[in-house]
Amino acid sequence: MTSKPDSATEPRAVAVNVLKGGFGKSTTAINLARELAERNGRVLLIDLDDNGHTTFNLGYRDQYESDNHVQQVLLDGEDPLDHVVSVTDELDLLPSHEALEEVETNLKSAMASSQRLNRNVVDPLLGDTYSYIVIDTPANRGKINDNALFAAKNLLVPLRPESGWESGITQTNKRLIQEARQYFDLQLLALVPTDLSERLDQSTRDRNLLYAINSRDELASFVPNFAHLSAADWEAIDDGNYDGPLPGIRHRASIDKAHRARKPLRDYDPECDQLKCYEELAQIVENGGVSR
Amino acid sequence: MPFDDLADESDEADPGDEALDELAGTLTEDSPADDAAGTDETEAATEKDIASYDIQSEPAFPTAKTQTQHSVYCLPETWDTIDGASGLLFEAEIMLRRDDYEAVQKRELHNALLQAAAQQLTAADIADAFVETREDRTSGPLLDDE
Repeated sequence: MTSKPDSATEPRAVAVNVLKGGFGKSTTAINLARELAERNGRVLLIDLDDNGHTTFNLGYRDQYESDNHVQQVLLDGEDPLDHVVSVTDELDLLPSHEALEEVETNLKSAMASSQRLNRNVVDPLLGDTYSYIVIDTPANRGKINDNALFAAKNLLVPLRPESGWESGITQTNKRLIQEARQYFDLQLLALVPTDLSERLDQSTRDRNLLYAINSRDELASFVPNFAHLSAADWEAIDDGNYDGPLPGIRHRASIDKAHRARKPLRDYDPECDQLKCYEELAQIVENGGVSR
Repeated sequence: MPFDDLADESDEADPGDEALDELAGTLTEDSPADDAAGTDETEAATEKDIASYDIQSEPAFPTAKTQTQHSVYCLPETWDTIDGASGLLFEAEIMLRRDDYEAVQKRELHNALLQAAAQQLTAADIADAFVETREDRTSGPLLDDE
């Protein structure tokens, strides 16, 4: 297990975002939030993705289809604590809602339209009620995403080695990170290769993804240790001599089964070997970046 | 426009095309229909329009850029007091929404702010604030000259 944070660790909010659907945002957000709660006490997970996967996968479809609490919190200024639900003793969820498109439209004409999540939720709750806040975000640009980034100021980008992952990271950098940085300091905490299963000694999408992010200096510093491969590691892989751990968050049936059981991975399968990856992600959020 | 509410509008020293585009981005979404309606709004307002108007859910007036859009200059902290996350208009908007007013538009809030100020302030009040800012300047520049 990775080391516990020291007492000087400051409360932090983080958005899990990539401008591409199906890249593991919800899985990453749920299990990151759960590990942060395991290590630090109270954590809030906010689901702002209109697909509702995080909310469904934690068993709160009824909240998704009930009154539009996201509208009530962001637009009408209601207390977010009146709308959070419990996932575990230390982890709460502010669920998504099926009418987030309406919230998006209303935000466009609202005052301080990018600052309402910060003002109404993150600023009053972070540090006092919750040690960490994790925000799952939609895969498209818009006011809800602006709110998530401005409130969190920290970003974690999951990458699944599917067709189009290159454009996913390129678009995220160009249309999300660089635009946000024109207005405030947005820290990229980590690039997270997830759901890997292919060989690395052949030309596979897993290899292409891992090589692309590990071989570029400007990207390598954002790769967690569980996905880091040095030049020597690649040489060993190509020579058939690599005996290190398989890099990235690996595909495991129990990760999918945990979703169907409406639980975080730790609560469904506490013995799963990939929990150590989510523990390191929690440590990265605690420390404000990757420590090599 | 992303993060339009965070943009530093005091940069717009010259209200050229770009500045006007920026300013437009800080208002609500515009539609050609809005502008067309705004050019002769009074004439276009039929009895049916008046009878069907819902005070709780419909904005009081359309965007009508040519008639409603103006450049306003102020220091960043002044604008933040008005339009920031803890700003006066944010509080006013929350109050209105809690009173069941829907579709509360920036143009209506900006108009209300200026209307309230115009009704309650005298020329002497404005001159006093002007002099106060000049005096503040004696302690150092009020803006970084970019």
